[in-house]
Amino acid sequence: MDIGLIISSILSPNVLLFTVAGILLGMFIGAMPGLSATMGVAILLPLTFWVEPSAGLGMLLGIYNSAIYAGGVSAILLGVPGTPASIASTFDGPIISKGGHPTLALWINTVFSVIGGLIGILCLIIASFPIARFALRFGPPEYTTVALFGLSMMVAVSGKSVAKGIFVGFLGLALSTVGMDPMNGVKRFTFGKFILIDGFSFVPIMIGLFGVGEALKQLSETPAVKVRFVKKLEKEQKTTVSDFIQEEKGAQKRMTLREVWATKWSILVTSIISVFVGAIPGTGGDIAAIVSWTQCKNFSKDKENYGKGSREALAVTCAANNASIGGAMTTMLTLGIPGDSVTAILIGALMMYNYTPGPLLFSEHKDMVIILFGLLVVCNILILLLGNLGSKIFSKFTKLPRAWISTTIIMFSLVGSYAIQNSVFDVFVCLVAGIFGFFLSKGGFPTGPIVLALILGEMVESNFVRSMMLPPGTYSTFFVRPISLVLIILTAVSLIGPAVIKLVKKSKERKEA
Amino acid sequence: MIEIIVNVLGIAIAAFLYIFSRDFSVSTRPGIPSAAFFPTIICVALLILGIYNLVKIIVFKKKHVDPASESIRITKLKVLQMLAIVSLMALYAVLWNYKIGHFILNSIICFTPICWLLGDEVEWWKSAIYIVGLTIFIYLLFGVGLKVRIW
Repeated sequence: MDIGLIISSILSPNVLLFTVAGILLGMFIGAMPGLSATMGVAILLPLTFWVEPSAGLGMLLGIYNSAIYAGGVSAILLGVPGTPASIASTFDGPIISKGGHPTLALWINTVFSVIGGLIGILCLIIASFPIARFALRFGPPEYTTVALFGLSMMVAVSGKSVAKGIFVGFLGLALSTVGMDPMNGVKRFTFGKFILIDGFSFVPIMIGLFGVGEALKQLSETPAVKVRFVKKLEKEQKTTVSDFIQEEKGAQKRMTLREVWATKWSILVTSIISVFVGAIPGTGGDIAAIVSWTQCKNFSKDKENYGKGSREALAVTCAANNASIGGAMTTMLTLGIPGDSVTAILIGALMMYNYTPGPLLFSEHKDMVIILFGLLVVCNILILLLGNLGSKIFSKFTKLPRAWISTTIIMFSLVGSYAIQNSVFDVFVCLVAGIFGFFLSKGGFPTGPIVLALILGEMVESNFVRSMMLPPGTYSTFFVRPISLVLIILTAVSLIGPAVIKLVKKSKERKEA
Repeated sequence: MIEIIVNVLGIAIAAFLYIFSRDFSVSTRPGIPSAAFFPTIICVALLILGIYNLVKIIVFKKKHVDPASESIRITKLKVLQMLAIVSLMALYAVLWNYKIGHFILNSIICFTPICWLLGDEVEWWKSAIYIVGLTIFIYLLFGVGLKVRIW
């Protein structure tokens, strides 16, 4: 491992160029309500296969970090979260902005997102190597149960519709069975088609679900109503979309160093909480930020101002959603389990570059792991440098017609799907996945579980069969190994837990009634 | 209605998995599960969940309305719009598959009406100009810059 070589690789003009492009694209995606980091990473993924891995990953990580950060821009200026992760920024951000301090609010978003992001990366660096070393002890039974635990997170990503989420997850698992069976070498559901032997390519399905599907979903929302809604919103708020900065004369434009220092404990605690929340598969920046905001409200000196335009509260939420990225990346890199939809797509990207996330990545491709850490740091530094200017510029793009954005998404999705393998079949797969994704969201079915199932389906099956080949060759293999047993218990808890909590809540409500 | 269609589709997929996985239900190696093992588990789970969801929808049809599915109701006009968009996208893919026409020309022909159908807040000619610019940009990016063999 040559550190000099790694640094020169991260700072090479090509890598920096792609990372900056990713940051700028991420700012645009994040600032536009309705576009998500997942969609951005999915539809721009094909662009990255044509460049060296560090440049491609720099671009994807740039989009991921920057979109999560920039989601706060529209949350602050319009009161509409740009991405789900910035939902908690709407609690205090618009009030600060409306009070004549939009520049200050944007500054808080930039600076604290970067601070949170860097704390998240620090936690990732500290935790990932020991976790990966520990995970090296894993055999097929442990991998089976880790993957099962990951699959059990279908419950967590399903929101209110748990049964629907699990149902959709199993549809994803069904898709993952197409192609050559991992252990017996039997061709399943290929119907003699050579193109299906390797199964469905993961990327076109993702692009279809999150690109075409979302664009179709936007069509179903009546444009006239949408335009009226935005105009009404503009009228209601002093800060408008078109001329969003209506600064009070002599308004404070940034926090003083003393003010920043005063928030140190809140930021540190919430960032660490968010790293843990982000590390749990199925959660994300939105949950991390809400949990952090609620926790800080309990112990902060400024607690009475939370929800009334507290600067500290805004700082906490901004730091939290970017810190959760460190947690999601830890689970993804060390165990190969996606923390959220974006990391699921990142797993696909890494696999395309022949880097399989998991403990072996840390022993076999240590250089790449360090490059990834370096790229994350670079992304945050670039957000700090470009953030304030970029957020002002990209927030003006909210005026762009939705039809243009949706058409761009569809076109990029179709051409991008083709570009991966020069295969028109993938274009059809993307199209069908998009239509299916649209119907799923219309029927109230979450699409997140499909991502988890597609990623983890093959992992569960191949490791399960390998486990059965180990002595004693029975199901007891999974119960006699301590790590495997603990994971089975955790899986059971995550599957049954929400139902039990729901029952307890219901019985309490009945008693109160 | 969409909920019912998706659940019925899931049950149909489960039946499909069950029927076709019988072709490879014999294990090629003694002592290890056959290639049909995993699809069979999925099939059973899909059946149970599909039926459960259907019963829930039918029994609680009036009592329970899913907030997610209720949020947006699709009008007949919207259905027609949607069908037109999907047909245009499918046409685009078919033309691509058989290498008929040219990428730039086909993109403009198919995506200008798609853009217009996706939202009418902009005049059609402005959207047409936008699509021409977008198509050329994508062609230059993928075809020239990344050397992807788009037709």
